[in-house]
Amino acid sequence: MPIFRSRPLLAALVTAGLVCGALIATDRALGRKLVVHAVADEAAPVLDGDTSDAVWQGIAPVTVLTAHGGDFGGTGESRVQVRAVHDSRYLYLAIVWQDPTPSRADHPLVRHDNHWHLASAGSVAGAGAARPGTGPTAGKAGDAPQVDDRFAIMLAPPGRQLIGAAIHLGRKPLADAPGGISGRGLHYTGKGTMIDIWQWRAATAGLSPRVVDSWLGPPQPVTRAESVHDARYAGGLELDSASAAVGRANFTGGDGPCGTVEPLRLPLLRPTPVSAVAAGADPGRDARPLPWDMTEPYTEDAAAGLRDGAVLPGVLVDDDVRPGPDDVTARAHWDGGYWVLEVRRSLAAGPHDLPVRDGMMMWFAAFDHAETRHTYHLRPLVLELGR
Amino acid sequence: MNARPWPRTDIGTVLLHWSVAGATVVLLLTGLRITSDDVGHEWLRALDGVLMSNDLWTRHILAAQVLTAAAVGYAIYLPASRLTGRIHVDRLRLKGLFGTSQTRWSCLNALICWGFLIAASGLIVTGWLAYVGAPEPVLDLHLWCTWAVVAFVPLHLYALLRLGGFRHLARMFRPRRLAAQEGDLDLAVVVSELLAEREAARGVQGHGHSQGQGQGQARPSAASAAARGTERKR
Repeated sequence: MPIFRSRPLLAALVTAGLVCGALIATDRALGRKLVVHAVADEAAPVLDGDTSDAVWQGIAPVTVLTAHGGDFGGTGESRVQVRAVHDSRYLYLAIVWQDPTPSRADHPLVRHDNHWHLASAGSVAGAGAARPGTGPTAGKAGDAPQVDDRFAIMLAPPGRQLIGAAIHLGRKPLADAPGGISGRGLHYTGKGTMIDIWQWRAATAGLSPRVVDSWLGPPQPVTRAESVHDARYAGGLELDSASAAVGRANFTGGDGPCGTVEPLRLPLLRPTPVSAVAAGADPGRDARPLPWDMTEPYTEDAAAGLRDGAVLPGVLVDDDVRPGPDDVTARAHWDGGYWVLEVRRSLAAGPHDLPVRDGMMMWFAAFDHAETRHTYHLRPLVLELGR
Repeated sequence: MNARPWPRTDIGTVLLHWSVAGATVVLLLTGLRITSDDVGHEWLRALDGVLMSNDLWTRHILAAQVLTAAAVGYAIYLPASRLTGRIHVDRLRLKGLFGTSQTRWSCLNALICWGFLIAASGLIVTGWLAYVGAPEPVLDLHLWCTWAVVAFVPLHLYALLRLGGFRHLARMFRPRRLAAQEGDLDLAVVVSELLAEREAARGVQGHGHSQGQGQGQARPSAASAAARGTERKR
């Protein structure tokens, strides 16, 4: 073209501008939608972790590749399939994700040298804990202690369709606040912004349908305990309601040089005797959470019969309140390398919640026996509610 | 006292060069931070004080758009302004590797630039593929391209220093207008002019020196035309 010869810089700048425009247009055109199909109230799926309901059968799932996680058989990746419907009051999600091994025990305690310790990943046989993979990320999903599988759903208001506004990496992202406990960073948003986060946990899922409902906002003020590192500073992450936490830690301590912990409760049905373990009993069952009311206060006298190798659950489930209309509930099961999860949440927003409506953005994160390291994907699914 | 003026280079090259450099710096400061969070790359956290922490993906993608646009712009600008000679590599230039220091470093710099162009192209392609959800191996390739780009910077600077010292580097801070366009060299014209010059030289030998000077002033010689072409390719 003549202009290329007479005005090469102009030609270059115009072409560069066109390329920029094309990239932005392509990005918008390729934005992925999650159609939330409308169904009658009576056709709503049963929340049981089984997607054989008729309503799910006619819906093609949207697939998202999530990456950068820990383990997942050494790949660090998990492919997530999601389908969505809504009735007059609730959003229902059917989510299937890859996870080679189910991990249902969270922070189990093991007795060793007459002291209790947090069991490290894979050390409690039969706990459904991770069998380390063989790839480069194998066995590094938080190393120790043993943690359950989790799955998080993030709901954000319409905006730039890219992850990261609430992710701040580094040892100390905030100048006047402690860094994250993992040293990897903090989650918080800017002023006036809020993000809804629902986290399902395999440890409590068997005993309670309740999903941990939390939200992300601007950085919370630092408490005295947090400033001296006696408590974990969570940036802008807050539970919707303190009572919404159904999993309660069954120990104190653990941060000393020897890593010993003090159990708080003891199962009414005593843990498997060592002799029974040797005879082939499954000590992993002892690692899984118990209902709070099936335990009693821990005393040395009560624990006198427990010897080295005995296992106690690290989490107890205290959920004697029926979930309210704004609570997120779910049921799941694992089979053949996949977790299947059915989630329900009200379309309307409760306290510290965002409403489910057109244009809202949704991301997914899978945790493979890891507390903080999870997979993620960059571009959200944008909700489109069927009428 | 050195009265030589500091060299300049065309404003297009300066603009595109600093666009690429700026975008690359932002891409490195955000991309390496993102990578430092991945299993197996924790050692990058040693750069904690240098790497960016906030709005990582937004900045990374914006810088990627700038780099992509600048790369395409450069691909248009270089041939349109007939500056491809800067990175042109042929047998003659490769022979320069065994020539003087000047020809050796000129050739090495061109090869280094090609290395950068390949790495940057790989970076751009794998980066956009990763953005739309390509699996882990693409990201691994993206990281290898990153290391190649990081390695390019000191190599390029060293080659330029060996080629022309700090004065050579200073070009990038001293833009000037692109020299007026000249017509393409026509090989037939060059040959005919060379023949005419030879004839003229014979005439000078036979008829005196002043006539040859007059001819040279009235009409640019093929040799000077060739020199112009060489200059445009530098």
